[in-house]
Amino acid sequence: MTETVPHHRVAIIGSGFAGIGMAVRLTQAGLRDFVILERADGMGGTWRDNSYPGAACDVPSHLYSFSFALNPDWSRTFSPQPEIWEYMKRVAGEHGVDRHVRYDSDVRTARWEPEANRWRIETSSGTVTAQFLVSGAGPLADPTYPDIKGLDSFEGRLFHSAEWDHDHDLTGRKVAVIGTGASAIQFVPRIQPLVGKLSLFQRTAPWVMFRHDRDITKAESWLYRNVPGAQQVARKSIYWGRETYILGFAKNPRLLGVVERLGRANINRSVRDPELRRKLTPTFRAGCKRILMSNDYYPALARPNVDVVTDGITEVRANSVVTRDSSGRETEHEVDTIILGTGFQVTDPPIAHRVYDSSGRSLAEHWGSDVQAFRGTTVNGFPNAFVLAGPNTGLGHTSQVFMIEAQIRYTMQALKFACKNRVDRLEPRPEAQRAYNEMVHRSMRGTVWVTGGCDSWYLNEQGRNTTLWPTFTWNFALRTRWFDPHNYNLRRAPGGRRPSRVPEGAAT
Amino acid sequence: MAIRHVGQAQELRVRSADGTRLHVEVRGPSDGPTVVLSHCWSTSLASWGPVVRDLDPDLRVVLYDQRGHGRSQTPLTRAGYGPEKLADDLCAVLEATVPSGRKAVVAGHSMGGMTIMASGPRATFKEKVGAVLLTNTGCTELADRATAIPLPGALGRLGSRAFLTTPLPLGPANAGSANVLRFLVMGKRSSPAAKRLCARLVHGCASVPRSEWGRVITQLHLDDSVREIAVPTFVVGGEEDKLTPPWHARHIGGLVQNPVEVRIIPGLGHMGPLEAPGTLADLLGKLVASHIS
Repeated sequence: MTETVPHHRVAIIGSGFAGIGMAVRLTQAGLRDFVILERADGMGGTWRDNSYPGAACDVPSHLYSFSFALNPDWSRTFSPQPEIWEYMKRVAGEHGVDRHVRYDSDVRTARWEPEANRWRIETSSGTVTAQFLVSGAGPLADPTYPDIKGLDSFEGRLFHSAEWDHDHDLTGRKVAVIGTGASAIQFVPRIQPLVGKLSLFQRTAPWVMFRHDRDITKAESWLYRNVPGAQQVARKSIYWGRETYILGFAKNPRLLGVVERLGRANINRSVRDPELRRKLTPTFRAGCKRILMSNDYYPALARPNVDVVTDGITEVRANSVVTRDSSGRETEHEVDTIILGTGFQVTDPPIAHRVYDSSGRSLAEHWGSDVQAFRGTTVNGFPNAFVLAGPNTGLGHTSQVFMIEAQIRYTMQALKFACKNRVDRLEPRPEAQRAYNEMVHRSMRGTVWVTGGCDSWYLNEQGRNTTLWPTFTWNFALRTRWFDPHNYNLRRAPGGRRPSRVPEGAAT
Repeated sequence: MAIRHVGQAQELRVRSADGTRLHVEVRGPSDGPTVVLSHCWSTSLASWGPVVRDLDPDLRVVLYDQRGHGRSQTPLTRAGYGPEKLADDLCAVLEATVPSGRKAVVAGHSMGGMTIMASGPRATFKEKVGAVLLTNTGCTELADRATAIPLPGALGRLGSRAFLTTPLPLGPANAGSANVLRFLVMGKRSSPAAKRLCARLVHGCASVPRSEWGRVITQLHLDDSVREIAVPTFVVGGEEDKLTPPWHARHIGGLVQNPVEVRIIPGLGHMGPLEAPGTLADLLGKLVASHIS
């Protein structure tokens, strides 16, 4: 049986900030022949999935949004998830992006076919082929389940914060929350007043800052709707304010002592009990793990129905969680609901196990534990593929959307270069990729993420930070501002004229 | 005087095709014949208020705020503005408010008329609309034919363009701006109350969406789409209208398939629903009586 496989110029995986942003830019450039492969039945990615109570961004909304779609109507400085999700859907809707989305299409494999010069992508809803592959799968896509003995023998309700069970009424329940990361500190204060008993299992205490979250005033909103450029001024001010954090994170971690003082003050303000204060005070340099922001996290933990457990979990039984303290004494905590706030598979992204080069090696095998790309976006051995929110493009201090947009701009430049010069295949040269990553890891030396004395989700098994961009984000934006053909192996389209700006010997 | 329409609005939130949320108000008996009113650039659904007050209380009146106006959402990007988006919004409102199998009379003032004309080819429009009233509107050459800025030739055209597209923040309404607006958009003998209402409405519209819509209006070419309107169409023009001079009304009357009448009202400026509400209410009543009852 022969089936016709739909072919597109560009296939985009995922419809979160990266996928929608890429699609909008393609549309604006006049390219309509693209498809978005979305595993769920709606757009939004991470901001669709993470609907737990209290979900919000921890970068001010004016900055945590697309540069080309400023929203004068944000309700708060740190907008809640429903608003961000709606914002994304509206941006997509206004540009007609939704027409290009193929829903319920979970990418199972994507293979490079050199003879046909295309990617063959098998999805749960059939096969498509595309000349260019853009992965917008993102690092916060797939939840991590902790490897705890007996977790599957638990007889109560168990779910991950990214797959929140809204039908499960928590009123009066005995709830265990495992993890104290960015998600947990947002939902814990929301569920604490409901539950009967909350046991919070903490491995490492995070630094939690006071959050200047407030309603956007009518006056501000009026200004943004009436004075062109006013919102850009607000956005840029936040951007440059946030960039100064890098001085502490990357340039001189000793400056973070100020942050630590603020963190301690935040604890002391809400927590009276010296024992609890001790448990909640982190023992590592602020910034080594993501700095969290909440005004109601510590007050919630100080309530009598909350128990902060710092002993390690040894196993989960049918109706309880068992911990063992340093003297070897076991304690059984009776619970009927377990909520995992254990984060995402960041350093080993599942999408890398599904993308294969021409010889059948997956991107994950190719990388091993040393995840790397050229300019965070392209990977040697994987031609015509672009990874948005790829290796070393993550951030701990400012808006991820800024980085994603920089990568999108770079990808667009590459595509435009290919079209103008009749190049039909581009792949970063191995030496360029090597040099780039050496540069990244040189910049990483001395930053708080590798010297701060903590084990975070930013680090791979060897303790190398393959996740974060190590310096100012404008530095990344400048590096991805223009496409750099001399760092690429290029192939002219058969029958095409010689590319005008391709250096001698570059075509393979 | 029938004023029973005031103060009994049922408020709806309708999603347009691209997800933009529109504020819709429905007034009057739920089983009455439906009239849908689409307002003009830089005001809100309140600009139809004087007409609604004069309408037969047995009519079911649907009002909505155009996107970027009143209580509807403002587009996030330039891609959210355009005649197709106006048509999307009207069709979404028709889908949400006109009972299946029934038809409505739709009336549009200025940009509201452009909305109706842009919707001409839409299936929803053909299915749900029984008759059309267009007042003070145009479908092409809007900046070129406007005479609001009293400068000769090309300067006047540039002036009209600037008037439409400049995002000048207006601040609170005041007597000075009311007089300027009266000069630009209303007839010489407009009542002081209409003048004040006009200023209040215009000042209530944010300048960024106002300029974006102004840009759309200067680039509008809807002739082909107007030719698709097959239902009976009544066109009203104002003799003293400087934004959409009577030429537009006659032009539209020549394009629609089934023109009932093109009426140029002496002394009328651009703000038909504020300046001649009685006449428009009357015409609406007659269209309802002869085409959808």
